[in-house]
Amino acid sequence: MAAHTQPLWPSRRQRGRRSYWLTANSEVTIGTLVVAGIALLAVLAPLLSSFHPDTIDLTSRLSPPGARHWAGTDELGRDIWSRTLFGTRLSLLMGAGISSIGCAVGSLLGAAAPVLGRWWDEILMRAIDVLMALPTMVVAMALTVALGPNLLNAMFALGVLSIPHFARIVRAQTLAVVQQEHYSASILMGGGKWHLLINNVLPNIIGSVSVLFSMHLGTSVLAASAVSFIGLGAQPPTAELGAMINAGRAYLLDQWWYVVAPGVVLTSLVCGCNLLGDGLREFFDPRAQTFGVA
Amino acid sequence: MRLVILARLGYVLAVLVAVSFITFCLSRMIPGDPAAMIAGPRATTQEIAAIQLRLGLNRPWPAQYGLYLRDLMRGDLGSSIVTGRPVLDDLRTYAPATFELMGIAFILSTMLGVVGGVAAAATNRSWIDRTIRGVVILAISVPPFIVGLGLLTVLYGTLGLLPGAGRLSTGIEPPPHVTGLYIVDFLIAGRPILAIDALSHVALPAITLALMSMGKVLRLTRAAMLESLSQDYIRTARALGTSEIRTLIRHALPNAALTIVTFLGLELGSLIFGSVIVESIFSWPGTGTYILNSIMNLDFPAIMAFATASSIVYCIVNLLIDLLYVVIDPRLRRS
Repeated sequence: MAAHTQPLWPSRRQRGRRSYWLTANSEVTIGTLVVAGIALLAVLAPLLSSFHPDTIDLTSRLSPPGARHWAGTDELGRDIWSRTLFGTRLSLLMGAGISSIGCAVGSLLGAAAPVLGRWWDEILMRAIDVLMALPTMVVAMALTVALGPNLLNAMFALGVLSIPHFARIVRAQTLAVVQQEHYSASILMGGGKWHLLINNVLPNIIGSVSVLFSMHLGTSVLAASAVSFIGLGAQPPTAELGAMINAGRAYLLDQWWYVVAPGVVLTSLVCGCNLLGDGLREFFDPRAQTFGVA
Repeated sequence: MRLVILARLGYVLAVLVAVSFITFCLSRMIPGDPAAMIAGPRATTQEIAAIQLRLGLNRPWPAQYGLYLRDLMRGDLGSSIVTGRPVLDDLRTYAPATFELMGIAFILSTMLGVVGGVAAAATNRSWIDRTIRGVVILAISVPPFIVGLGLLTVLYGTLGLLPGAGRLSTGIEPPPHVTGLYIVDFLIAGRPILAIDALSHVALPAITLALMSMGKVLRLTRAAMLESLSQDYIRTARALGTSEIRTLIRHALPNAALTIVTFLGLELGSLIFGSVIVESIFSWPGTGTYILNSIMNLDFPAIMAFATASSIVYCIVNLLIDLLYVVIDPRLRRS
């Protein structure tokens, strides 16, 4: 994977005459708008919904969209719009949590290994090889089951299993930094490992790391909802998008509105995240097209 | 050359041992006492202690890991709490249905992905490329269960074009067992019309599963092709007057093939997980549905055995793909 050594965050000179403004990239603009819009819906959920997401109203079970419940109600008469809003909160938090765990731990390991020396680097790479040799989602599923199926454990399992993805790419970036003159100069002036990591490596990879994070967010949201869909993440009565769609399956042919609101929001959210991540990658490095695929 | 293969085999063996250690840890993380679970709710303390002794649960963990490895070698992955049968037997019963589904999905996604990727790379930055990339973003972003439910509603529910559940129409007997793949078995039995019935049943789940990985394959093929097309030998080929199609297929694609084939092996992991989702949507009687039932019943041994088995299959398939490099890349044969 030669492409992984290319800078994700090239200098302005490397970027050449491409537009300096992020907004010139339509993917970034649309992605940001969609993600920001959905995040706003999630934050303002209590203001935007006139019902509590868990309030049961058996007199209006499975009622179609109307003036009172404008996205309809589910089999217990709960308002689907409110549940979608609160579910979006969880999906966003889950996605951010998964990517944060993977990104924080993975980047730290990936950046520290080349600084600490050959042995550490070797050990880290072998550990990553083993984790990469596993079918990630299947192991995440088993880990969630072993820890006990709930949202936090699913987040933890998916987060831990995304560590190698970050560690591998950040290590490649760090290897390039370690070659640079300022790094050797720092060593010659007696800089300790910690100093090297904080002052020489970190400033040079932080840009790439933030792009990596944004590129991973869509994958995380998708994985979180998929795990909830098969019943391992959010447990009833918690409103979560994947879990809601799973519950609505039984009513698909007659009460179609059950899955429409959560489905549309979830799809737009993942789409927005992926557009944003793709756009950022394209903007910062038009050549490194292979990122985020593996 | 032989040395390379031997080194690779040794490496995979080491990875397999590490993987088995991870699955061992996973299976020991299960809440509660496995012996008590096997013995059932009305067992006496002595009975539980006897089972603990038999399973070696009272020994230190390195010894337990040794026992676990021994069982693994013998193909003993433990017994399901729900069915009471060895999990491997259960998985073997359901595996052909999943293989059939995954096989067809794999063929579909590879064909669409590679053809689309080559087309996108050949028309880089034109409207065709942009359209294809738009489709890719959608294919990657729409959750597979939404695709599945959508196809089910439209093509089965509303239009009634394709069947939506099971492997065969009601009233049709399964073919005599040869491979377990109904389409193949019907063809062997000389009943092509029934094979078409089986094919129509696998269509919707296979399309859903294929769409899930098609986007990723396409994206990677496009990137690998762009990389390959920027090389000097492509310029030379064009300068020599080779037709554009031939340049693409004969010169650029073989050089992109290694990357693509490697990725296809890695994609197997998401196909295995995807089959759990897709099978549950289309009531497809395969390992995915089995595992989903196990999750619902908290049948820990079954879930852990499934994770172990699929990890091993995944490792071995990726090893075979590494060996395939030699076939694809003549440079490796010579060294």
